[in-house]
Amino acid sequence: MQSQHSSIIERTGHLNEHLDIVFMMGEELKKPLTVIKALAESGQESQQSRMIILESKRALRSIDNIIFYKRIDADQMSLPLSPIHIGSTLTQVARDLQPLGYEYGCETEVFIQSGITTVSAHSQVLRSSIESLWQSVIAMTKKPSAMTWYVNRTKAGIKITIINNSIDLSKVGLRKTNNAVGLSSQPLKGVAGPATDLVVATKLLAILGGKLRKTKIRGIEGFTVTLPISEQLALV
Amino acid sequence: MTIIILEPDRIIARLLKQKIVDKNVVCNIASTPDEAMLLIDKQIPDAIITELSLSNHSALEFLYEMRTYVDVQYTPVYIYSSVLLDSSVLESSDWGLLKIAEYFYKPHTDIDTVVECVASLVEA
Repeated sequence: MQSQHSSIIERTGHLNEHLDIVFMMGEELKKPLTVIKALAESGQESQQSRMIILESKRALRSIDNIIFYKRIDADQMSLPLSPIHIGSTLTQVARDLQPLGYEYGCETEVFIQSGITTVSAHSQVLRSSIESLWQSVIAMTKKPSAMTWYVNRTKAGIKITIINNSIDLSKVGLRKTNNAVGLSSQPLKGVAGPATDLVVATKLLAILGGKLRKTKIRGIEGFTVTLPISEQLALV
Repeated sequence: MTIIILEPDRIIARLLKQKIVDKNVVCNIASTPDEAMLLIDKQIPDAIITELSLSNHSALEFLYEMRTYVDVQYTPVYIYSSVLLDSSVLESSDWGLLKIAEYFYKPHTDIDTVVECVASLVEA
């Protein structure tokens, strides 16, 4: 009994230490990235400086979203719900992310069904999940490409779909993301690198009660998720 | 007119100072709250720009202490920080007590935006 108790304390200690390291590493990395961004913004404008600014912002957004997800996962923050129109969140994210898309040769269109119902959600969870999903798709694109977002009302809830005509998801497996992701430099089958944006998007959408899946519309591949119109958040 | 920048990062402090000096405003840099207090003792600033993540003690302690001094009780304070604050903090009564003129999150805000905002208030 005593050894079991010690083992639990030891495991909890390791978990806290792991979380602390994630937070510390995130905050530590934000400092040089902010400086790099500030230097590029203060210098002469060029294609190179624009890319430095956009890529720094992309990394900073990824770090914030990872920290944000980790804080929720560690029960370190409450998630007050409010009625949110997904279309307005998507439009706000589009304003921030379209410049990055342009640099990647990615033209984006957003179609939001008129009169869609608001969902009961936490605004930052929704925003961070859309940002992460958008960034993960941009990273998979090949130049030039067309990206389309659709937001529709279905019987099951509000369906969000993102497709891009240059991505190939045939070898991508999301099963691990929807379950547990172990320590690996390439945790997702078919996605190069750590794919943190895609992992975080999947986890945050799960908090909102949605399951990210692959989809195909007229042969164009992408991802889709349906968020329930619910008063309760399905917490991880 | 004088602005104090309380910023531990030398590069960010230098970039801010350059832009503020271009507006013909005198600018002094402090890297710790103690240095900032010494600068305040020498000359009452028209505004203060501070990071929240500081060495020695936190910027919040510094701001609470600063607000107890009559001379800088109402001096506009601008937060330019890499610490992300959510709306529950920004809308709290404790935050209200600090009378923060504006909070800027570094990853989302360029230096020009901060300087324009500070300069417009100081000029007014």
